[in-house]
Amino acid sequence: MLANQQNPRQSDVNIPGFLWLDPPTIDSFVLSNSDGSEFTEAQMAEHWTLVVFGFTNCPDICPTTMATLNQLHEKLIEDPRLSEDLQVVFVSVDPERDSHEILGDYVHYFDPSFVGVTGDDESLRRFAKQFSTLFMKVDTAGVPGYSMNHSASVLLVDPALRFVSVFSLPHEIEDMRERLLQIVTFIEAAG
Amino acid sequence: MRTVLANIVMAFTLLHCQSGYSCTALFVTDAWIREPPPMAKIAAGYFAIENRSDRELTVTALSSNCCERIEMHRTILTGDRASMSPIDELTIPPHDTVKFSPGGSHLMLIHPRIAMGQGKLVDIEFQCVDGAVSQTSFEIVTVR
Repeated sequence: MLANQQNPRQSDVNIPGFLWLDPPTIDSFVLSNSDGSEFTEAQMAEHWTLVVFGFTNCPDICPTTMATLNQLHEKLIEDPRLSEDLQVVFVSVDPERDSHEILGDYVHYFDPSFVGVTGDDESLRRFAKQFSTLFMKVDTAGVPGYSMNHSASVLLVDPALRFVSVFSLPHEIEDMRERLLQIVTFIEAAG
Repeated sequence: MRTVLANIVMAFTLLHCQSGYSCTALFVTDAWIREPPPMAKIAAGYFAIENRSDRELTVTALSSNCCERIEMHRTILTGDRASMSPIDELTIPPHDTVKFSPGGSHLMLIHPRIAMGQGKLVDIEFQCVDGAVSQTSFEIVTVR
């Protein structure tokens, strides 16, 4: 809860996963949107962005998280502060298999407004590093050939391009909604 | 000689029983497949499997006409990192239930051969250690 919305301090909030007081700023990056356009920090500025890493051949945790994000997104855009400014970005760490077409179909299955991005290995690693996370290709026996180990957390970037929160598993929609709205309130009050 | 032979037969029978027996004591419930997004080459299936016998039972393989292959996997979380690990055999203790659920253990349905749309039923065979087979219908459910 906020103790003083006019002059918020770190001690005023106790929001799990909130990275205030010194959130890292997202540096410039270039990834590729599933529509073929560049996706850079410019597409995240002035938005609240929920970022999740994954790959479309991930059968369990990725679609589970995406379905959660879809339901969370529906609730959050009811808030006038987020109705126009909230975006969900799925970052495929498997550019070898996730073509633009596959990636676009995948994210739009969950919500037509969701953004799917990917890039070459170096660009993806540099982007992931900004969230202090890694991904790894792992060989598997049989037809899929390989799998990708990746972060299962949902990451929040504010309109000033600050990485402000981590939503770790388990992802309970109502809990995430409450925490995210608390963070929005806090940061808007902080200015 | 007959006594020795009888003992050998009995020993074989006991070993066979101790290693598990028919799938008929296994009951699968809450069986569903998450509708995969378009163009997805892999889908996930979930269920609960109950062993109503007094012995440990082991599922060694699964198969279906729906897809090229079915594997059992579990999602493992290490810190915030998700990875998958294959389950070669699924052993269900006597009078116990094992659940496969989102974010945990799951079936991996690899390279579907059919359109996996909401409401469709997919028959999957569970093969036990003794070669017996039990079939269960999984319903495809849209979750998004």
